[in-house]
Order: sequence, then C-alpha cells, then structure tokens
Amino acid sequence: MSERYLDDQMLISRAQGGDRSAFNQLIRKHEARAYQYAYRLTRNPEEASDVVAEAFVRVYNALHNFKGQSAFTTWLYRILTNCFLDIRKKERSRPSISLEAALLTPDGELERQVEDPNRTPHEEAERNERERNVESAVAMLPEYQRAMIVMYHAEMMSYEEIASALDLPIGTVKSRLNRARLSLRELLVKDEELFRI
Amino acid sequence: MGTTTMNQEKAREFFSAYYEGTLEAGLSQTFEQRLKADSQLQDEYRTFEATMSELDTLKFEEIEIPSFLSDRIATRLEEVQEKAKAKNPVWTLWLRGLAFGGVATLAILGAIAGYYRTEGPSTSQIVPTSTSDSLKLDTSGPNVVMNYQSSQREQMSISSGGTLLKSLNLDAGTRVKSPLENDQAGAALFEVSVRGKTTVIAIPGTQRQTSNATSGTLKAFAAAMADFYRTPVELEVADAEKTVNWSFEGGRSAAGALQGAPYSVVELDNGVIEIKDR
Repeated sequence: MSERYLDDQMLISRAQGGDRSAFNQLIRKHEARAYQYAYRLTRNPEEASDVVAEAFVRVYNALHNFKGQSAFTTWLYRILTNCFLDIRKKERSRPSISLEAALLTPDGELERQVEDPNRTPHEEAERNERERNVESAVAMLPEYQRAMIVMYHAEMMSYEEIASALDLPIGTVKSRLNRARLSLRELLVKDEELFRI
Repeated sequence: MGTTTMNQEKAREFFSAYYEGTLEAGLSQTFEQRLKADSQLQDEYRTFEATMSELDTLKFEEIEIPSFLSDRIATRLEEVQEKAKAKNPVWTLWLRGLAFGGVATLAILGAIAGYYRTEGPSTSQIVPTSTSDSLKLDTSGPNVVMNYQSSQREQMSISSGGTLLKSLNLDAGTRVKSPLENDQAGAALFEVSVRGKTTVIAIPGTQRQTSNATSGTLKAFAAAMADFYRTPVELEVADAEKTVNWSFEGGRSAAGALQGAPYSVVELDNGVIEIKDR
C-alpha cells in the first residue's frame, strides 16, 4: 500500500503503539497543509515553520490521548491555531503593514492611484493587487478573527469543523466570523476609496 | 420582528446568514424590509457582498512550502526527545528520518540504568535479547550499538525484568540502530523479542563486579559473564530461565566458564560472547 494514502486513523494507531515510521508518515502527510494554514496566519515563512514545528511537537506529546472523536486534521488545526496564538503572545508586536501607511507619501498626502482606462491588459495586475489587498487586510485582523477567516475562506472548512477545531459553539463561530467579515469590509472599503480618482 | 425593531446594528449581524441563505424565513423577510428602507444599509450590504467575493480568492493563493520545513520539524522533535531522555534515562526514539526520503532509519537511543539480580529486578532495565540473525552488536565505538534490519513486517519488543519498555512495528527493510548504554555499576540486561524469539543482551556496567554467585539462571550467568569479562554477552537460547552452574576461577576462558551444560559459549571477533543452545 502506498504510504501516501494510509488512513490517518491507521497511522495514528500505529504511532500510538510506538511505530515512529507511522508518526513520520503522519507528519509528511499533513505538514504541507499545516504550513499553508500557518503561513496564511503569519505571512512569514520562518514564523509559519516555527508554528508548524511546535504544533507537531504538541501532537507528538499528546498523541497518546487522541481518541479519534474528531478528525485528526480538525485536531491539528486546533493545535496550529493555539501555537500561532501562543507564539504571538510571546513575541513583541511586529509592525504590520497598514493599507493607509503604504499609501502615505513623505508629505503625509495619500497617494492616488490612477485607473488605467485600458482595462484588459491590466486586469490581471489589478486582480493580483486586489488579492494582495485582501491578504493584507486579513493580516490586519485580530489574530482570532484572522484564524477563523482563514479557516473558512482559505482552508474551506465548514462552520462545524471550525467550531470543533476551536472548541466553540457553532453560533459563536458564525457570529464571530460575521464580525470578522464586517471588519474586513471596513478595511477594504477604505482601500478602495484610496484607489479611486 | 418589524422593520422598526431591527436597527442597523442588528441587521449587520444577519449579513452573513442572509448572504448564505441560511436566515430563517421570518427574519429574512424583516431583514429585506429593513434593507429596502435604508439606503446606507443597502450600500453596506453591497460592499459586504463584494467582500465575500474577494474572500473567495484566498483559497487560490499559491503558497510555496519551504525546503527547510521538514528539517525544522525534525530538529524540534529531536530537542524534545533529548530533553525527555535526559529526564528519564530509559528508551527514547529519535526521528531523523523525517528530513530524508526513502526508508526511514529509526535510531533508538537507550540509556540503560540498573542491573538484573536473581532475587528480583532492581532499578529499571532493559535486557535486549535478539534472536534474529540480522541482529548484530557493534563494539567498534565507545558504546555497544545494536543493529537490526527487519526482513519483513514484524514487531520488535524490548523489555527488562519482565517489563515491556518499547514496542516497535517495523516495515520490511527498516533499520533499527541503538547504542546500548549502561551507566550503572553492574551489568544491565535487555530482552529483544522478534517473531516470538528472544535474545538477551547483557551490557557490562561501569565497574567490574565480583560476585560469589556460581549458579543461577542463564540470564544471571550472562550478566555475571558481562561483569567479569567486561564485554557484552548475547544469549540466544530456548529457555533463558534455565538454571546453570558456572565458575570464573582459575582464569578460565569464557568458553570454559559454563560447567557441563548443553550450551555453546563462543567469543566472537568483535569481543561479544555468544551463548547458544548446542
């Protein structure tokens, strides 16, 4: 059987029995996805790697307690989120990119972007710019809101999965996500105004 | 709930549910009425819809996995393992295989403390017994290193004094490599079992022991021999609990220590003394 497709539960059972190769396979199977989630939260490869490494240490230490009541990935997301929040608490606040600050000239004037009337050749550039702005706006959210936005919109987790991962009632997840989206709306509206003539 | 009771703030709370079509019918109707009556709220909802569309692009972002990620994870896990080993000098496992492709090499770091007495187990210990031909002891370095290569999918268990210390599920071709360290004064015994056969490995302690015992189980003999000759002893017999008599007096060679028993005692080129059924 190809190692790549070994069921999580089988790998976990073997790892719980002391099979280190099974634990290695579990890590290999999930490390890329774990990194992508961590990167979306941190926007920094070094920090994202630290989050993932710390998360797998916690998985290693707690695997004997994992009873399979939730999917392993759900459990891993919870651990990753907690590692991200814990690492952030320990660090000094890092300068975050403000959409407004990026557009301030040395004189303090807001720099205006002129829309090119020839849209077709620049459509792709604009789309990428908008995507970057969305990513930047997400990075400006409070960490907990950021985690929920990333889980839902980037990781494509359901409300139920997010509730399970964060150990929250589903109603709380929905209301917090709505609040996060409203915050993002504010940030992105400001950004759009700055781009208009 | 009428339009007058749903203020703007309340209406905003329903943006997501309305967008996703999960708002219950009654509330949905009220929400729509509120929207119709409030142009500012309409604008806000339109921008909310645009935001939701833009958020959908997040999943398309391509994120490159850094080449150092696997190594970072492996290094971090090793640190944890080393700390655990320092706290509890029994068996811990080392996960260096993570950073490399192909067959993972499992390195079992063992710190053996304690020794086995005929009257009962003392502090900890693991007596490895190996029975497979593919289990070899390497004495070329400062520590004795147990090397084993599984020829098929199998289970290896390592115990001491009847207590199971570690169980490993090995795939075919998995290499197990472990230094066997004994920090105690007297010999330590490990029992390594694979496919129903057990090998006892006695590792001499830090000090030469002078025991007056001249009879006991084969395991006790292996420990005594390791203590006396200051060399590892490998015991591969059908019944390691069988009682035997021995003597090291008169400068006997290892082969001559066991008296009148149906076992071969051979000193191998690497200095290991091997005891087998004749």
